[in-house]
Amino acid sequence: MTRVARDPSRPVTTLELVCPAGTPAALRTAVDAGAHTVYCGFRDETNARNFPGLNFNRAELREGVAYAHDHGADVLVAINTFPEAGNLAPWHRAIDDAAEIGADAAILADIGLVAYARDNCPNIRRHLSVQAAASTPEGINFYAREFGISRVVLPRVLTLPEIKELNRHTDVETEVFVFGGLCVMAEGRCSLSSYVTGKSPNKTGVCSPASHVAYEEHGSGLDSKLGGFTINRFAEGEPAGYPTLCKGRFSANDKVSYLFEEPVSLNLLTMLPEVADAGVTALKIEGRQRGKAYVEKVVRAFRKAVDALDRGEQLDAAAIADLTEGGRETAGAYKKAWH
Amino acid sequence: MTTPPFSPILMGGLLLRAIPPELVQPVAERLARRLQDRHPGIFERLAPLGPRSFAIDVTDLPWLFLLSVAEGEGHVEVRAKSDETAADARIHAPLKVLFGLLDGSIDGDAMFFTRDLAYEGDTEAVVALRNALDGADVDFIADIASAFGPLSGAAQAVAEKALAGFSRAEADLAAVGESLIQPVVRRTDAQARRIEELEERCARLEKALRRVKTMPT
Repeated sequence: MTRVARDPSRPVTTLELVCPAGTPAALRTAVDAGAHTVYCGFRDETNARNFPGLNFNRAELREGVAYAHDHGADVLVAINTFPEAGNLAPWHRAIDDAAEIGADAAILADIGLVAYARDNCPNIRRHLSVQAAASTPEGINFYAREFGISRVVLPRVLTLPEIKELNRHTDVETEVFVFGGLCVMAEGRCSLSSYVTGKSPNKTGVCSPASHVAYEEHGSGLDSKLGGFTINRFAEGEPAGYPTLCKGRFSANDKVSYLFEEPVSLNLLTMLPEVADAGVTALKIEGRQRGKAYVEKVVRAFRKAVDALDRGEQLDAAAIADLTEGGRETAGAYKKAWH
Repeated sequence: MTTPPFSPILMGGLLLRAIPPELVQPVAERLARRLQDRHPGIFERLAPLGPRSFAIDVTDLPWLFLLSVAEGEGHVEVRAKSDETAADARIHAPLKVLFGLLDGSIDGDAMFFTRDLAYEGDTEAVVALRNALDGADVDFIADIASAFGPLSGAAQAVAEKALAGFSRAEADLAAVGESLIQPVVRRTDAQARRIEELEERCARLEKALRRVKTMPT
C-alpha cells in the first residue's frame, strides 16, 4: 500500500516537535512558540480529548491550518476514538473534513477508519494513534502494508532500547510521548473511566469526564471524587490533582498509597539524545486539555532543547519543572526501573 | 478556600469595602458587554452546556461577581459577599490570578493543583469556562482601551503605565511582607527540619518493628 509522502516544502528537522492545541488560540501559541507540528481535534466524540469548551469547529480548523501552514508548521487531526456500531457518520465526516480542509494527517485508531481513510481520502497522511496500541514491528508493518500508514504513535510501555530495536525492523516513522500526563493502562483498552462513569476515552473521547468530577473541601483539606467515589484526599497545602481512577490514592492493607500510578508527569527533556539515537522521528507533547500558558512554556522549552541537540549543546530541564503534575516527573517505561 | 496574597489589591480592597455593589454594577456590566462583543467565541463555546451561573469570588476584593450564561450570551451581577448567592459553581481566586486566566498568561490547572484557585460545584461548567476563556485570546487592557474610540491608543498607554506601577508596588509590598514574617519563617523552617528528622526516625523504627514481627519464633 502506498504511503502519502510529507509535503517536501515543509522544513525537516532532526526531531519533529508535535504539540497539543485544544483551541485555535492554543494552536497559534504552539506555532509561535516553535512547534513543527500541531495536533488537535474536532468538537465532538471523534477525538480522545472531548472536554467541554475545547476543540475546533470546521471553520476554526480551516483558519488554524492556514495559520500553521503560513508559519511552516503542519497540523494533524486526531480522530482517534472507536466509533459506535451503526453510527459511523460522525467519524467518516471528520476524516472527510480533515482531508478537505487540508490538514497534513489524520491520527486514527480504529482499523475500520484507517481503511475508510485509505479508500476515501487517499491524499491525507494516515498516522496510527497511540490508542491503537501497536507496539511490535509486525503489527506496525501490517498497518503499513494494508493501510499505508506513514507514522505510528508508540504506546508508553516500551523502553528506549526496545524502541531502537523496533525502529530497526520498520521504516514507518515513530512518534513518542516526551512530556505530560501518563496513562498506565494499555491505551485504547482501559475501561476504568467507563466502569465508574459510563464514559471512556475510547468511545466518548473523555477519561474521567468533568461532568462526573467533584471537589469537596473538608476540615483541613480537599477530597476529589469521580462518579461519587472518593479518589483522593489532599491535606491542606498538598498539591491537588484531577481524579482519574488509575491515579487514585486508596487504602489497602492498612496503608494509604497510590495503588496503580502516582500523579507524576512524563518528562524526557534531558533524555532527548537517547530518544534521537533510538531512531524516533517525532516527539509528542501531551496536553490538549491544558491552557495556552502550559503550551507556550512546554513547547518553547522543548523547541529550545531540540535546537540545542542539533547544535550538540547541553539540555536545560529546569525550564518546565513547575508544569509537571503534582510537581513531580518520571521517565516512565522509557527508562524502566522495574520488571 | 484560598487566602488572598498580601498585595496592593488586597490593601485597596480593604478601602473599597465602603463602595456598595450597586455602584460597581454599571462598570462590571460594561466590561462584560465589551468582552462579549470582542470575544463572542467565549459564550458560543459555553452554549452546549445550557444555562449556567458562576459565582466568582475575587478573594482580595469585597464583591462577588455572578456570571450567568445562556444561549451564547453572558450577564454579570455584582453582589456583596455577605449575600446568599446561589450558583452552579463558585470560583475563588485573587484578582491577579483571574486576570491571568482571562488573558491566558496563567495555567489554570497549575493554579488549581497548587490551590491558588479553588472552586465548588459543577466541575463541567468550570472546565468549560476555563477552556472558553483560554481559547479567546483576551487582551484585557486592549479590550477596555478600545471602548475609548479614537483615544484608545492613549488609554492603552495609560493603562500599561498603571500596570507597570502596580507591578512595582506589588514587589515593594512583597519585600515588606517578607521582612515582617521573616522571624516566623525561620522558626517554622526549624520546626519543619525537626519534623522531617522525626519522620525519618519513625520510618526507621517501623521498618525495624516489621522485621521483628516477621522473624521466625
